[in-house]
Amino acid sequence: MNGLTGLSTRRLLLKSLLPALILGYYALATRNHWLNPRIWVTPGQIWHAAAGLNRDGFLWLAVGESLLRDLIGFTLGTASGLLIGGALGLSRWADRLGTPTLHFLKAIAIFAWIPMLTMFFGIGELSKIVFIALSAFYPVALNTLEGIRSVPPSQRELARVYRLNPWQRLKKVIAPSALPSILTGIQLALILTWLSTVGVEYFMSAGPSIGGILLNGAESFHLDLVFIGVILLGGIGFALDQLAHGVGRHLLRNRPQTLNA
Amino acid sequence: MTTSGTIDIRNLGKAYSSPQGGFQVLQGLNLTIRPGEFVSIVGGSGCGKSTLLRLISGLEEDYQGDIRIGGERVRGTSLDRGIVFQDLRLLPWLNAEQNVALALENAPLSKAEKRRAVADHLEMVGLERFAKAYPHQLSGGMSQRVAIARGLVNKPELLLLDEPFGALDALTRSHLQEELERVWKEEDITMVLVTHDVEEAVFLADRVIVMEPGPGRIRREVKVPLPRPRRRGDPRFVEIKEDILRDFSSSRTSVNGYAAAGQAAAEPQLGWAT
Repeated sequence: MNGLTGLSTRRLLLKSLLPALILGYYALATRNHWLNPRIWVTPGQIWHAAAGLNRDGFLWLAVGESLLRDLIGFTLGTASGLLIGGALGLSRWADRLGTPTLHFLKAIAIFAWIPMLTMFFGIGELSKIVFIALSAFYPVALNTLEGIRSVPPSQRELARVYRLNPWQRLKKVIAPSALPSILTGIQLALILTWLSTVGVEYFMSAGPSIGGILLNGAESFHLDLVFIGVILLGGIGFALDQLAHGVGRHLLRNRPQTLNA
Repeated sequence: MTTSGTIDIRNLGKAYSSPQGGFQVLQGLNLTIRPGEFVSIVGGSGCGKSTLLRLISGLEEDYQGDIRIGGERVRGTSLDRGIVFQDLRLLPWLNAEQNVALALENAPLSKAEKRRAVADHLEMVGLERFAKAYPHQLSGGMSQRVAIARGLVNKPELLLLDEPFGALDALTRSHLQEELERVWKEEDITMVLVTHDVEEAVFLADRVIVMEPGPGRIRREVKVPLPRPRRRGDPRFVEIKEDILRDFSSSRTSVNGYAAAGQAAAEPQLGWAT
């Protein structure tokens, strides 16, 4: 037990070594004016600015707004991705009809949707949510389709041997068989929607939000604000990714240890 | 005595079409299996023995001729016909008892009856303590027992076994053969075993059907009139086994080059030599 915790502590230290070195170098560089002090701010100044935003309550408002927007878009996009990907995977008819179109649409870079969305929905909340949902939709739909397609014929045959009806077949065989692939899609969706949330806030200017902080910082040459935005973006993205992998590991805990890393 | 009917196969043919043209897997096959009988089918690869089993199970439906069980033509799969595959096909996300219970999804039983049936059959194969274990936590022999329990849990009148012990080590294999014989006697059901292990075929069967390829057909039938449980060292046992094995050495020389070249790797073999 002791050896194990010792090992994990050492691993944690090793993992934080690179960020710590970068931070240390940056602190030194700004303090000694190796970098232009009119642009580059010291870690202390960043901390100070963050404390200021926190005092106003603005910081948490911004984080909350961004997370809520992300959550709504992620939920809508993941649900429709599961639905469409599932339909394409389960029905040969839907597959022939829809899959070529899906593959065409996925080739469009996600940010290329912005002009079209703003034309349809304006630059309000709806446009942003649709954009975020789109970035979740593709990985979930494609991985669901792929997961269902790769259910081994031997498992499908088993469903025939035991005369499972379509619902039993889906519940007992196809869905669990496709689950690892579907989870990969959802994990991707979670990190992609977070990036698109902040991206769309930046491009379509939202109110208090992480993208908003970045935009304000960039427009007023306040690098401390930009840094706060970047740190929040990265930190929360990292946490979401860890969460997704934790949930995935839990759901696949009884499987042989090959797919869940 | 079971209520199951006689399996009656008349003039059975099966062809697969491929881009190169059709391929006749089985042709003009006639076979009758009595209720409660244990029949083994042996033959080299390409003789269509697994196809025959799949046709009886109803997994393959497109064939010429007639397969009737109790007078009724086989149409699709049925819970009255259990099947055990060589590759087991245990679902990795279900534990042992859930895998067995899968076979009962559509059985006309109450929840409690299903639970009891699953427990009884796991006990029958000696795995009651491993009900909650997942397939990747079980050994090959244990997994095979789960697959057999799953094949039997519906109390089918017929159990089809497609090289069920092919992937096991010799010791586990002979042990499971003895268990299978015990289960067959206890359950009083018809069993059809496809195998390339001649010793296994003779050890278990009332009758061994020897098949030959190109296209797949029955070469001959060998009765095994030995009392059970059989001893593998019994001279009469050895004699029957040798007799069947001779079929394969003679067919190798008499059959055309296609068969000789394509099959060397999967020739029937002595059980204990492997």
